[in-house]
Amino acid sequence: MNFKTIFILALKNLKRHYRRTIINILSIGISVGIMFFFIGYYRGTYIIMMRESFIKYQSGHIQINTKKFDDKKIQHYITKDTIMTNYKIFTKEILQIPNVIVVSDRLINYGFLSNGKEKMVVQIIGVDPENEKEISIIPGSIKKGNYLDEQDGIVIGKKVQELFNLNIGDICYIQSQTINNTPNILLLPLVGVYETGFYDLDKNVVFTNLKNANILFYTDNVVNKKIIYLNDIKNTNKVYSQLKNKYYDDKYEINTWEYYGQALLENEKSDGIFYTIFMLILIFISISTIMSTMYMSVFERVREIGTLRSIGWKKNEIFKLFILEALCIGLFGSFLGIIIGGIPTLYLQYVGIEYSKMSEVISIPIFKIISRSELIDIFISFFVGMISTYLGALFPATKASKMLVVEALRTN
Amino acid sequence: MKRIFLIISIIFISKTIFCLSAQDIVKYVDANLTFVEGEMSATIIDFKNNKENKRMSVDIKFKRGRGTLMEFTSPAREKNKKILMINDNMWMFVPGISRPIRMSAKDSFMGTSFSNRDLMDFDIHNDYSAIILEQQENEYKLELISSNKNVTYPKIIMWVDKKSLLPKKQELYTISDNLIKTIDFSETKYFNGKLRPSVMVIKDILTQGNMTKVLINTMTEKQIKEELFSPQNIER
Repeated sequence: MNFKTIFILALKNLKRHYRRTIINILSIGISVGIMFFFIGYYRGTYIIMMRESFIKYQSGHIQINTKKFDDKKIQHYITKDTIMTNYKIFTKEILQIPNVIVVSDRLINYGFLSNGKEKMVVQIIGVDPENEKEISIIPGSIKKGNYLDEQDGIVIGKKVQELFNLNIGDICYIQSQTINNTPNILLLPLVGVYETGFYDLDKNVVFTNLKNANILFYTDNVVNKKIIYLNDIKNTNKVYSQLKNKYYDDKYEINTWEYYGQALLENEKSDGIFYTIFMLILIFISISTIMSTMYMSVFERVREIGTLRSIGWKKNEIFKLFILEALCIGLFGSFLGIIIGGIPTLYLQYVGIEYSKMSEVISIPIFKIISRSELIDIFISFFVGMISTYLGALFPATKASKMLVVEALRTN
Repeated sequence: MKRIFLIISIIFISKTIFCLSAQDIVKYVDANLTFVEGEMSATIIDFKNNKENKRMSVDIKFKRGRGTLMEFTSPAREKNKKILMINDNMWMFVPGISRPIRMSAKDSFMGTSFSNRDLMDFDIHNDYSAIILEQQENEYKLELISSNKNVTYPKIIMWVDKKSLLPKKQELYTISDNLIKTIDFSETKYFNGKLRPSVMVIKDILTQGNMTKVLINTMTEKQIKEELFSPQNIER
């Protein structure tokens, strides 16, 4: 029997048992669809959105600070050993390196913000406002007032503004320790209120320009962090190596975003494991559905198998018939799956779901749930769909092919 | 003859007082607040939002030019903790921890509005140079600018009672010349023959209703052993 005849017969069998075929196609379709959707969602939301958000709002692609600067020792952020003088020359040099787009010089310390009645601990970040406009999410998240400029002023998060009942133009007190470890207070007008949706950021971080930060910390035109932004996350290791070769000595420490984003990467990893297990369960369910319906099909068609064998069909041809039936189900199911998964994937790819408010609850920097699907996802989903049906049909097809002709014909 | 002597004495004393320089006034203030050496017991009450937050009792031994040793007597969880200050260096001894912990004199004293130095250092004339800003009938208004960069407050404005040469009020300023704290001195009492304010109230300018009150219970002039002022001996 030639392959074409077996294939046509397989298609006719599928049509003949259309209810069973539809159930099988739907089972495969749903599994493949969910898989296709999750691959795009995971890549988009976790690998691209969360990493990009983290880089944009917190770490940058690469950070440089002095060796004595320890991110965990907040009480020692501003000391003689943690500040960088002549930072502008250093910045100019870094900007010459290919793929570097912005170097954000910051002077960071912890202190208090007060409205004159209450005070709370905040992180105070002195920035170069012009630079920040290019890369930071804060200038784009201003809800009231304006972002910083060279004038005196402070920008705070919406949560603090609500807590302290402050309005634009109100005087805010910021207190911190100077480089000599004495307390210092600056009175700055509130110029802007930002809202990113990240609770930690909106409640705990205030921004002022580098000039004010230097006055507050009693330092002279210094910074304690250089945050480097690149044109593409993929260039991180390349630029990191160049920076390390050029500047790594006893004085400076250079780290990539992965160093600061260990928790994020761990989260990615654990969620990846969860999704993999979820997908394996789905595939297992699909395989078992296919297997049970194919076994049913074999048992219902015992006499038919006996007839085919008695008219000259060989064992391997019976095996091929059942496998082809299953592979056709796999093909149609996978195709259906791509459509089922493709609809939400397309929506997330081009529209996305606003999620920043949820970061209050989950403490993960996500702006939007998005999907970034690639052509290879379709091939992977098809491949998994076909393999699932093949595995599901393997044992029933073997059983059918090994049936004794006489016993098969005798069966009612 | 006696009358003439009395009149001359009064003129001499008045002249001395009226000709006091700002630096002399600060020296007098320091001298009037404590003995050269002695012991003091005090109660420190911290208020948050006008409600009592914490109450501590301390015994303080001091010897001018040598150091100050403070020992907590209550509450139970702070009992036997000791803080030693020698010049600009400060250590804390916590029972159960074998080595004294080094502290910064500028840090907050046990979470109160005081810095460690505010409570432990009784001599401000060594660290500041003073000028008289205003002179009124009853008081001097002095401006003290730090001559030692290790002090917590680079500028202090102090009101001093002309008669007793005791402080009435202090305003503490930061390096940016912004007011950060105020200290009010009140309820002058005699302690072992020395008249001094028995209540000090320090207020944080950033918060309303937060303040720390220090009540001096006793103060006696007494010889204090020099060996006490050593980090090695602090735990004994």
